[in-house]
Amino acid sequence: MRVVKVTGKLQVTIPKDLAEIAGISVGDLVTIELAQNDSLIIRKLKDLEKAAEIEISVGDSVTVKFRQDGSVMMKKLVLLEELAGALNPGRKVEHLAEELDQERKAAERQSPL
Amino acid sequence: MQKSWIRSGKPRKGKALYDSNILIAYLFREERRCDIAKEVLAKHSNRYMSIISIHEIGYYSRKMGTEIKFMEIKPKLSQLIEPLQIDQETCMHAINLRSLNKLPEIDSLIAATAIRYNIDYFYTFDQDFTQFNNRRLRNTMIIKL
Repeated sequence: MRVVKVTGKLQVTIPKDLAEIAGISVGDLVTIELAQNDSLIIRKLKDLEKAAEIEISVGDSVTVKFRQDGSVMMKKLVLLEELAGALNPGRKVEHLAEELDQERKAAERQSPL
Repeated sequence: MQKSWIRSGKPRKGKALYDSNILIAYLFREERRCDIAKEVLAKHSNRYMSIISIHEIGYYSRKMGTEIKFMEIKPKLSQLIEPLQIDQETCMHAINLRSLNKLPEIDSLIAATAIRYNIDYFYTFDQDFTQFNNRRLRNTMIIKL
């Protein structure tokens, strides 16, 4: 265990040797989780998590869940409105329901029964 | 009768499963149907779709030249509308629907998914469901729009 001083804006310095062991270097993103005994766990952000993290930006709505292990999980809230017309090809589209209906029936006619 | 409560703006409780044609109308902004799809999608917060819908939406996006966009929105779509898998129990329900009610194979698998997962409402634009409109299949109310 190491003791480090909390400085202005609640900043702390990770001891160099511990940072090397944890694979943390300058410029990396880290997660800070609140553990059950009120301690904080600092972890290097993995690539997949980083991708998810980057998706959240200012103005986004997020859900916050407190997990049993004391950590906090944030998830970007996707709004239904975001998907309205998301696949529109840029032209007027109609009769898709009828088309789909016909395709399902065509598949039926090809069945051996 | 359906349209009055659809347009009432009141949220409905319970789980809803949406047929591919509802989702396609909304995602592709189909003329006349997109607004209806939007209203029924907004009616429920517990939204589901059959895994078959992923195939059908993906197929249409390829036909329309929006496949890349589909790949981009797929995670969001699955987050908003949970895809339900087809298992053996679903297949057993589908056999009954297909043989007793003369539903096409895909229709019967999607409706069977609603029954299998105890879905409260099943919404579709499909004409083959006109015979079931406002009727229950087990616990599932069929709503043909």
